[in-house]
Amino acid sequence: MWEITGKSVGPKRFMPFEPLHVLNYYDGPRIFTFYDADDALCLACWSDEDDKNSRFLVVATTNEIIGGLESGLLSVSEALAQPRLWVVDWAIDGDLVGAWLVSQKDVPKDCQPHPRTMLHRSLDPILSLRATGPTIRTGEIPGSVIKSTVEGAQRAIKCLAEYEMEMPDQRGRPSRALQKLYDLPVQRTLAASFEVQFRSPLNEPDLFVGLGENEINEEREVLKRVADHLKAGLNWLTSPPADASALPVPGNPELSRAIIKALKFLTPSPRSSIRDMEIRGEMATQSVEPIKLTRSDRSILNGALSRIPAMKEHRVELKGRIREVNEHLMRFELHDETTPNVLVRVCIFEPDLWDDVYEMLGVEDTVDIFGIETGPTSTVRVIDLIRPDVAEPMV
Amino acid sequence: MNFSKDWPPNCPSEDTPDAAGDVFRISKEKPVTAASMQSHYESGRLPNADPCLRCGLSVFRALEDAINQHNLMPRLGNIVARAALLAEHGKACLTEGQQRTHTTWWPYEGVDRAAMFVVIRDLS
Repeated sequence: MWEITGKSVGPKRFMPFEPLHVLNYYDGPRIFTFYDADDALCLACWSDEDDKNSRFLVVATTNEIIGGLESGLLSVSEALAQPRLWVVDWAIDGDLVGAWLVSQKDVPKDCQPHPRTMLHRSLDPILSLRATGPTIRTGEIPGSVIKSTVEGAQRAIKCLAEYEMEMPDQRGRPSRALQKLYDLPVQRTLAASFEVQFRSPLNEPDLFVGLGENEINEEREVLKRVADHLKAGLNWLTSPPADASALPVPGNPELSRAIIKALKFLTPSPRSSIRDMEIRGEMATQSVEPIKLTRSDRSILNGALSRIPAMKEHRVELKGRIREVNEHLMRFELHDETTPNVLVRVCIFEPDLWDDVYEMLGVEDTVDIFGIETGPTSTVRVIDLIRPDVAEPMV
Repeated sequence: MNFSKDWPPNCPSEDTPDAAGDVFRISKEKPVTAASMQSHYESGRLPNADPCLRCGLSVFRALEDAINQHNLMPRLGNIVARAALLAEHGKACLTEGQQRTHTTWWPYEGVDRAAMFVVIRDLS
């Protein structure tokens, strides 16, 4: 076993070393809580063993820390990062034969949990973004960094989810999991640099209630496609050298456009405080090493976007009544008064228009919509809407 | 096909399903040796632990869970090996409350456990 450099202490303080709540079991309890001799709650984590003894890292803990471990708010190494760390040797006959007060830096890396490893794999964040830059320091993180990191991730995923939502098989019954992607839940944030981790929507317990096995598999498949699009885009952008003439998905300009737009949300702007964005999580990469996007990637993305045949976006003004709002997908149906047969147009909108959309939902008054469309029957991206009670200029 | 006579009576319980399907286990050596296939009952560890669980071996149904276990405790071993369990190899069931696919496998006496496992990943 590894050589201990620390102060020897009496092992009796940790007796009887009886597991109270086993958090990890592998041929026996490996991570567990126990009460020490003073009835203080402690956390033990297996470190190493030989023929005679098993070695555990031990820290004082609280129910809140254990709750954080079990809910994915803390990694195991974070739960062990306490002011005092002990090493305890547990003989195979059940006696404690040694205990030492040590410093975490003196514990070999392969004798403690890897950083970021969660108690269970299911607690791994699905997507993690870490912003770094010269002005980003603990306690001094510009609000713009927080906003662009959190919103950037959510808008990137929403971009790809919208592409999948336009697929014919989604028109009739929109995927529940896709709808959850429209507002990806934040699992936790870390203040040193600024990092936000997003939880998988598949972990919500009631997400698939009422669905059959085939339908659940379809949900997982749709989510997998969104993740595959993001991975394909990141791989294309970071594979050296980025081919100046290629698209993320050659032969599919529409998907390439969605991917490039998603990547732009994740890439630092040349004018932002963020110099680099590190991306982790199973939605982005299989590797434990992060993908790093820099300001210079923006020019690659802008160049690629300019090469895609124009989708012929037009400004459009519509007048109609708002019906059928889908709050998860952030879209509504507009009964368009400007067309002879009162055409129904699907409109998508951003969160800052929520209140206005809800106020106009179902009322008889018409609303003026200003947006972008690619065709007379395409989805309209709403830029602004004007309610009739503010149509007259203020005096 | 019998379990060791030295095990506690009714261990595992009669309703424990026959072993079946692929499982993954962590090993320190490649190829896998008998040393990585010892239960706590055989090694004498944790004499006060659950007497029936001590006789079983921990495996995972998902490779990713085995990798996560390695990341939590690298000294368990850097090798992940896979075996295809059949009814003739013993009984196995999911062990609730742990990693989602953690499974306890109680092997029949005489099963050559190490020979069943093929190394599929070296995490070093």
